[in-house]
Amino acid sequence: MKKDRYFSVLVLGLCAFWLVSSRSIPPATMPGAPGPKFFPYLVMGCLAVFALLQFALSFRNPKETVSPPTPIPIRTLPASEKTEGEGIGEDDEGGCVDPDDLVPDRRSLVASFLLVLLYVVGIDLVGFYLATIPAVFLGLFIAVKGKTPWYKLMLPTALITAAIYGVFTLALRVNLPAGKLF
Amino acid sequence: MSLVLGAFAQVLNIKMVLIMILGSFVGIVFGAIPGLTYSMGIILLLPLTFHLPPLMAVTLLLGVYIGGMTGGSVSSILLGIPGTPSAAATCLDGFPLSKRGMAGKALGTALVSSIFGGLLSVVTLMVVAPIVAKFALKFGPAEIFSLVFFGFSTICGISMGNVLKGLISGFIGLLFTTIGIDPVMGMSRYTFGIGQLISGVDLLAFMIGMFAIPQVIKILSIDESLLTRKISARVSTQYPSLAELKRMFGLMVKCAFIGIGIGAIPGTGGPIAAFLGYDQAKRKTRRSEPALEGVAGPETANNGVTGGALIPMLTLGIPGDPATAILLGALLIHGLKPGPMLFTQHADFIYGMYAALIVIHLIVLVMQGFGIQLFVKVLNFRKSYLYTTILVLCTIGAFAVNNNEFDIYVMVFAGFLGYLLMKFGYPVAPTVLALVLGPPMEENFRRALILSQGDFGIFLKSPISWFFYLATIFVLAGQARRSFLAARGGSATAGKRA
Repeated sequence: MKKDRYFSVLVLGLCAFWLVSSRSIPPATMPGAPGPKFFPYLVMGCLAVFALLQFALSFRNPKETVSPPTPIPIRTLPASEKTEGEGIGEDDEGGCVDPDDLVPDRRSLVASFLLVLLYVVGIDLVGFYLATIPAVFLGLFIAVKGKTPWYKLMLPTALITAAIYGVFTLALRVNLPAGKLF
Repeated sequence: MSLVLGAFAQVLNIKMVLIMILGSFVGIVFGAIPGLTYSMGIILLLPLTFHLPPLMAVTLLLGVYIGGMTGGSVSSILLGIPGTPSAAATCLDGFPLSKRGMAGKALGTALVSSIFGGLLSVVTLMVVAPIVAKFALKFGPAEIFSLVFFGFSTICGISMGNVLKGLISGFIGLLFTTIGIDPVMGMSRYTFGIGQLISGVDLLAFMIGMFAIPQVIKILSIDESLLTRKISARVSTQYPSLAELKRMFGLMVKCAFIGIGIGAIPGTGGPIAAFLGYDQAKRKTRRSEPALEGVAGPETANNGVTGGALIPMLTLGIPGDPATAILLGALLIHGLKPGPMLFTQHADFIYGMYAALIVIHLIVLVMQGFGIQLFVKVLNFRKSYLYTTILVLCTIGAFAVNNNEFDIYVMVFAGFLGYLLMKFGYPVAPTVLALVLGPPMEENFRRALILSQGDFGIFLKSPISWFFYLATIFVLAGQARRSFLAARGGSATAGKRA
């Protein structure tokens, strides 16, 4: 599979980077005993072998395509076993869903990555709360995907931030990042 | 006897009971809501335990573990969406039963069988753990290395049904453990000019990133309505009748021991045990139609895993699954080093933990039984609010460990790495478990070589070492064979469930 091939190359790149970084490590000080480079070299060697193996195996079946997720089978009760008890109702159709099989929306995915990255940089620069308010708003904005108008997200943003402030700052007195600019 | 009474005295006070109630509640909520896992719940609560005494801290996290394992059945049965991977097998018979008006009975059966499996696993833990710990006292550096090597290899091999992918994921984790001060000679290495890396990669920040951030990113990016189904009828827990319990008792005992055995093998965990339990249930009923046995089997087995997974974690310092890896990290943060010495030096803690495990199971039984309406309401809670809040909680958790902003960057790096692994179809758990097992592996490997003055023969001198190396080969070869057969058979699901 192409995916495995690309990942193997990434792993080999990681090994090479580690190998280059090993040059600055001093050798062992005790004669006969393995030094600080020994274990990393061993790990790098094994990882490189596994990555090469994966790379080679990725050519084994070039026509292989990603198969769609197999739904978990659902069986229905025979009519004789139906009861009058409680339940979610027979009108609810559909089988079991595996959350891992759900495919993310590409634009929202990029936005989510950027949100996480900007949030962390924001905390570093302006402090926890000043970064959290826009991050919560943007997180909600990405999650609702235009189904809720932006101004309706302001109240939950305020409530979530207030709840965090109440629990961590007022009740638990947790020290939170202050930010470099203020 | 006085030890047992003393243990219960330690846990039966207002503070501890409140802690257990809180942990169990958070666990059931995290277990019940699809997309959230109890591992995520444990990791998010861990920073709140820093100021608590060790027993109280671990009790809170155990509450999440047991509550989460039990609560996973709620959404499996009511929504047909497994709350946790361990509850995927419960979905197979639980959801059809629910659709046919037996939701209450299925929920009651799941709850009773979960608690039965969990309690039996605690009893087994209490009997087996001291024996294993006593035996482990004989281990020297070479034996400990072989044991850690076995744990690490099986974790990598079994984690997602693909040995090679598991090993690559695990060795990536091992590579990150080499960052910082070398554990034997104290030399700085792989810090890349970043001063904060001298003390290494912070385990908790890395774990938070690996377990929570990829999920947050993914759930924020999907249509949340796909993870929500309307529950049209009012649901309450209906416990199985005595006749039904009598009919299922043999199956429950069998599945509990399957769960305990599977849990004790590093890297296996709840999902495998649950599917084996389901298989046993189907063998018993000998029919393809959904039955209460199809709920009882997997639920007994996955809760049996909890006590089983604690055996290698407490006695040998080898976590059985990601949740016990976080618990191991929690013990280390609180100054308790899992291993045989824990049983001799902190016996009061161990007995207190046993008592807490028993009480937590009873609390979960009552809480989930009577509070099912509340948990059904929780299922309808908007995922967008939940995951945005979790992102904020993650940053607080990562920062609170050392009051160090750099750890938030570590968390994000680990999160992006976790997403990358997930995207390319590599399991995340081996990377995290490697971070736990890497330092003792390197330390004992090098200590053994120092003792033998560089003679590698030391690793093959002891029969204990041989036993672990052969066990490693046996497990990995078996898994590789299964992977090969699954690939030939084109079974997409086999690998995932293995």
